[in-house]
Amino acid sequence: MNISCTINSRTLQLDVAENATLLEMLRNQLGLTGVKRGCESGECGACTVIVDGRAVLSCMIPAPEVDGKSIVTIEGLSQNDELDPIQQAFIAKGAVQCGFCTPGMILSAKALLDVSPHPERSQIQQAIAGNICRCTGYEQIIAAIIYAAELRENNAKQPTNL
Amino acid sequence: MYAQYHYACPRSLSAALRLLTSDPLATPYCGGTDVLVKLRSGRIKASMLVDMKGLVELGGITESADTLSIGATCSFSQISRSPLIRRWAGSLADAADAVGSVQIRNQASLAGNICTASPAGDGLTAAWGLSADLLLRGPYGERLLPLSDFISGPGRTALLPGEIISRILIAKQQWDAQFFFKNGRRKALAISVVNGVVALAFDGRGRVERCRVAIGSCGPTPLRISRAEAALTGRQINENLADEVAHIVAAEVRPISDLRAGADYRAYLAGQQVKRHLLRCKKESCQ
Repeated sequence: MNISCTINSRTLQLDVAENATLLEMLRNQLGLTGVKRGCESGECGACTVIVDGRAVLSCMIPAPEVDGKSIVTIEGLSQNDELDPIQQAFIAKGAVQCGFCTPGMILSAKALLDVSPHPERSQIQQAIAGNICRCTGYEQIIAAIIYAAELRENNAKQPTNL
Repeated sequence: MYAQYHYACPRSLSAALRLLTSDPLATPYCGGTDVLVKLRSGRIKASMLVDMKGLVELGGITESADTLSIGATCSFSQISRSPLIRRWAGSLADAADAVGSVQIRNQASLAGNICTASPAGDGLTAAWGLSADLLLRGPYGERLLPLSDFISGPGRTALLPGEIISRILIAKQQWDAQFFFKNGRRKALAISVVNGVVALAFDGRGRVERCRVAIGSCGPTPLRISRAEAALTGRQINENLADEVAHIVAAEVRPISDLRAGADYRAYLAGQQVKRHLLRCKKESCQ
């Protein structure tokens, strides 16, 4: 089935299998292996991507469904070889251990910060409740997202140097 | 890829119904959060997934003079954000917030939750507590069915071949307070051990005029606890009445023991949750 979609700001024409999931399309067809294959039953959040501004589980979306949609994966976050402030914050706060949950965790954080630039701690907890991390105990991740909100605000204040 | 199936995204409801009628293994879906999991585990077979999300007749949340109408494709996120739902069906909005996770809520629909007919479904219990009706569309036309007649047991619904839920209807009733509660093994991504709805309307003198008490995950379908509602009606809420109602609820529910909780615990918890919310209502002087 032929579809057209925007992935990490690039518009692509793709021929996808009708029974492929978005997860399979991103990983197997496009090599975007930052999208992690975890439980494939909607319980772990490792495959989280952003579709049209919302965090969703790519393992539960038939690939043909994203025709005409805009998708952001972890590979699309860094700009001009510079990490996204959320990625920087995760490094700065030690929010990455084994790293398997990290792409999904960061995309859940991005979907939150894009609509709520200054979230309460409880909003952060809720936003990442669907992303299971078995290493960190979540505290460093919450600290990273709070810090990311600060970094994003500081970046917004600075004049952009194009 | 776990199964071979085709994908269809029909442009009109009539085209969708034709697809669903022509092939008994054509499966309608919306968020896919139940259907894809069941397809993978082999619990259902499908020759074709029919994506219902683009159908305008099945979308949107609207109101008439006396009824809220929720489109079958509305996601839990849409339901949670809807001022109309917050105004008239706050317990359903709270249930929408309790389902799965942000990602699941962005995808999954209330109609799908109802069709899955899990006794533990949070959206299902909330809609049950508010006595929702379902508008069904099928090859033979349209029919209206109370939700309580739609679900006959775990995973069993009154859907005929080729039939779908088109809209979920909830009467606009004035409640002074309505609560949804849920207990799971953890706060997110947890199947409810017990969930439920308490809704109360008071007369001018602090007595319960109308009420709803519904409990999920404690029987083959959610249960309205009529005896608890009768005990509350016409009386003022106090500690004694709340205790009495808690005992009634615990006696009336029909839970099973499973890997998530024992039957005794579920019955006790259901009663205590109802008691807690009755007293919360008194404390917050909803009356």
